[in-house]
Amino acid sequence: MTIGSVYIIVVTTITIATLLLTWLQNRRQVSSLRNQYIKQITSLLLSEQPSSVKILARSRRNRIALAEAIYTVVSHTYGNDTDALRHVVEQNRLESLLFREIHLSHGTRRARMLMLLSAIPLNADKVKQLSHYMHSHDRDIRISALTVALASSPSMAIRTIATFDFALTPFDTARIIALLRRGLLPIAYEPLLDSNNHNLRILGLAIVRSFGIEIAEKHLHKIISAEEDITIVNQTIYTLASLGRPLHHTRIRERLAAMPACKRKELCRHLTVEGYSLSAVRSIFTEQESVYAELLINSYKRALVHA
Amino acid sequence: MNEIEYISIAVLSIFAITALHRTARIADAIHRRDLITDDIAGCCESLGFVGCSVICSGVYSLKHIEELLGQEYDRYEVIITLDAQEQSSAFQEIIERYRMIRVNCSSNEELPTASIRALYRSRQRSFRRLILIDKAFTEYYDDLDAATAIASYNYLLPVGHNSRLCPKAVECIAITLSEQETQSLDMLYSLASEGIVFRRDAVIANGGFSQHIVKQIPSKRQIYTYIPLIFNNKLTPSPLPTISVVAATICTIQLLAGGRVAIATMMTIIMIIALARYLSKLSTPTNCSLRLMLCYFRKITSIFHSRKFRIS
Repeated sequence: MTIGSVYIIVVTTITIATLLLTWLQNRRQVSSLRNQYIKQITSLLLSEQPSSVKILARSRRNRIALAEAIYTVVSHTYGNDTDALRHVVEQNRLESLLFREIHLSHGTRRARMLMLLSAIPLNADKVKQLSHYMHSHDRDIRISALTVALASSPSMAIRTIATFDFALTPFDTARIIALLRRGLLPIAYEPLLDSNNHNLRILGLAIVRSFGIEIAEKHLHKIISAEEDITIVNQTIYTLASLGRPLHHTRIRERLAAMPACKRKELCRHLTVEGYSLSAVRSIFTEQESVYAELLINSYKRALVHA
Repeated sequence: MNEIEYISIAVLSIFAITALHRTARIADAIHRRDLITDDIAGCCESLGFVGCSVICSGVYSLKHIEELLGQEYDRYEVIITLDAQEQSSAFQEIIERYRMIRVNCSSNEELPTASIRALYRSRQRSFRRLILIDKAFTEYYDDLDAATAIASYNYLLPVGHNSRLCPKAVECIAITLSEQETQSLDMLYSLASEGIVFRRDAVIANGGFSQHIVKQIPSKRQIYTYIPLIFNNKLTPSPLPTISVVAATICTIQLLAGGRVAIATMMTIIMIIALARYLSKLSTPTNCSLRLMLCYFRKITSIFHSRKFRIS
């Protein structure tokens, strides 16, 4: 057999496999199945007698669709009846299915399964089996594993985040904030802002921004005055801006003066979009830097005189 | 004869491996997109304060504008540049549909090409993210410059008459940019589709948009993603000429290198088509699947010519 023949056989096999995958992709109608389960779960949660509503998924495909439906419902609602959901999870053995899928899969699929697991009521002891995924080199896997750990034992949230080896990115904090919005974690921002841990401080600032906690202003000023980490200082200034608080304090000005020119320009643009007045912008930036802000702020006013 | 066969198979193998590698990366990126965009609604302020202005030239269809406004990310705006004198009916239609009023507009010294005749914003709260610029049309780079001068956010995504945004494109841009450790990246481009995102300050530093802007930005300040961002909605001409060219190439290969190499070439082409079809199925539910597939072929051939910035 020549090299040409081998090549033809290999390429033909790949082509057939790809066509098969495409055909399977067509057949998979998980979204419609998921929608059916979403309706059933919603009626279960709204029902006065949850035990009268039975949700059953037999095949593996149906059980994953059910887990996705639970995730969708849980991530869009607040304060669900956990017992009713736990009953559905136990009835369909979703926990064991997801654990098996997590161990057998890898990459994005493993991260997805972890994400689904974060929405179902779990035993905290079982979650310890997944703790090694928090050290994964794959960013999606480790943050999904972190959300599972946080959702399963909210009282340990601060310790879990503090021991997390990697710096949280803005997107990671957004995913943790999503847990807070579901009511799974306490919104205790003070210990986070007072902490020396980088991740906890970043999360504390994100909580202040997301929930518009104006009473945190004193804490923010304290961070601006004392903090040495420039990233935290910048985030704190942006957090103050998102609360709409004045930024003309001496210490803030000093910090702004130490910023690189491009960062100052970005902040100036941000303040303008956030709705700061021209005089407020002028009080902290030079005249040259405020030109853009002036143009943009003026463009929000109706033109009474047409050129 | 054997040597020719070896060389041909080696070249075909490179093509096949490249296509396979790219397909695997794009498929993984599409799966990741579905994973990561589930959680972020309403959390935009946490995504590194990344905002994106979509700047348009030649966009006047109301349906197209509706599609552009349909993205769910908060820190996002759509800036449309049109010539009110050349396209007066379309301009009037936009003004009436979105209840736009003329607002103050001063000249911007950052970009000299951005000479704006008038600027309009919507009175309706639901369309606050739409901005309309009246500007005499010279070339689309100048239209983009005018939109850049007005843009409120740090990142710009140029869109043309035939370009459509892929689902969740703006969220994906925000997530990708916010995940970078150095926040001041100048350019983000997609290897899976068309679409380049520029940092506003980088565009201004390079004197505005031009076909050479991609080359002017240092490669260390560029990053790429495999997530599809934009697809081209332009109706493609009949595939017959392409099929004829492929058939003629295979016949020539048969004459020069023999039947086995010709079959191997044909099978490689079929494999690439199958891979592109698989990717297009993955990116559903959208109407962009076939267009994305065509873009996939264009991207594979793009390694043979220099990168110039243009919008379609």
